[in-house]
Amino acid sequence: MRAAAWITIYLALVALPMLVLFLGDVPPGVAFWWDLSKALGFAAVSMIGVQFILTGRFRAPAYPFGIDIIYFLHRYLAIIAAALAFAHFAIMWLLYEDALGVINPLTAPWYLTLGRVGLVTFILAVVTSEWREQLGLKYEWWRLLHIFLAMTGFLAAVAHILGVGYYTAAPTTRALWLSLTLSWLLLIIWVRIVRPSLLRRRPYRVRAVRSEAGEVSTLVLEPDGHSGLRTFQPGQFVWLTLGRSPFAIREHPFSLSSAPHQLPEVAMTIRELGDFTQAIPSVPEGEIAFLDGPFGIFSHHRLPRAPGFVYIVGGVGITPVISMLRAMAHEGEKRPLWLFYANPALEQVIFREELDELAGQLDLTLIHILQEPPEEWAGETGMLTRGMLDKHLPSGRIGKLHYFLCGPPPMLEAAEEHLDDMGVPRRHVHVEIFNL
Amino acid sequence: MRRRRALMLVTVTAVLVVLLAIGFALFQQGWPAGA
Repeated sequence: MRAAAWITIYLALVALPMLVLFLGDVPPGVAFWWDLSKALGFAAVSMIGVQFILTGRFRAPAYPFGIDIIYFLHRYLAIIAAALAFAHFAIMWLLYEDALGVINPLTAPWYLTLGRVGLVTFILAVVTSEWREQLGLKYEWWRLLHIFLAMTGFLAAVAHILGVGYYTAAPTTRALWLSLTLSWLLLIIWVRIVRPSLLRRRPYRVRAVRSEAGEVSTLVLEPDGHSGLRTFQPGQFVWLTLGRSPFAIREHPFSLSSAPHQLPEVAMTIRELGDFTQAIPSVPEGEIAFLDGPFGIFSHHRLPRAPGFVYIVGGVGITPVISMLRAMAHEGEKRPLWLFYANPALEQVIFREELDELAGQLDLTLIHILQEPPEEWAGETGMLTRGMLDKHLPSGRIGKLHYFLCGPPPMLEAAEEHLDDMGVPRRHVHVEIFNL
Repeated sequence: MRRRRALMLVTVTAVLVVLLAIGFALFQQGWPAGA
């Protein structure tokens, strides 16, 4: 049902530029393939416009899906939009080659050159995103390039449509089309300029950097000259920028590992994986930082009536879960909890002692799963299996509990399939995938 | 599985967008008759 509503809103937004044409004097059709080519072009441009909304960090659109799925949709819808833009060009090229004229930008009409620029830019935006690692592009540089390509492509495509002007020739249609385009531009200005400026007024300072087990560090931040986050739901995440201005491109999403009652102080627990995260342990105390958030729907606070929770976690995926467990201990949570926590080895278990303490305070069953267990280990070993879930969970209540999954994608896929086989309703399974 | 569902959502959306474009082209050719 949620999906149906989402598709309807999306289609309405994509159809809007075409519907707007009918508000003015719509010129007569030329031929089926000709008009189809134009319609595909219009659809591609409005799909790309909507792409800016998807990644604009507005809380409402992310609400029913979770931001990971929003980025997933952004990625695949971009491929489709680029394909539609290419189909628009291909139909013209195959059937109406004369209308395309010469390629040389010095002699070709400017609006046709801009159409080609738009198409090439969209394809480049997709290629550099899909094969970023193979191309050796660092995340920060890729992000800058991506914003540049997306904006250049979009503006070129809009100028192309207005320049060709067949469907947008009538003054009313032209005015409507321009205002529609202007609203997309305002959106981009809001997301890329106004919002970062607002964040700039609320800086944070690094108070401590703590080394945890398994090449993981916890970064503790406190607000500098303001009251900080008003509140957040344990399990939510923020976008973190370290140093310099909030316009800096060194911005990454991280789950908060602290709990709301610890505000105004916030903490993020980060594994040293990429260029940015490797630098975390050497961040000096007092370094300036900016936070955008909180975002996300991965929280037990959204499920006050659930009879109990099961956490299936791998490695640093513990971050949002420790936030929930800390909050639960503070709130005096009485509901039963299970934590299946997979790690390569015992010394890599993050927050091991604290988890033992929490197990004492909460009705929490802690199940460690180790790939390389120590000799005297009596607990679970290897990968998470259906057998482990059956063994530790109460058989009569499996379908009533809510499940939070956070870890590497292969583990999540396996866990989801086990839960599906066990008859757990899909709406009881909450997943956090961070593989942007 | 969750990704598979999201991928299905993308596919359905893509098909509907293409149908929308086809609808636009057909409408411009005077379909349905008399439009």
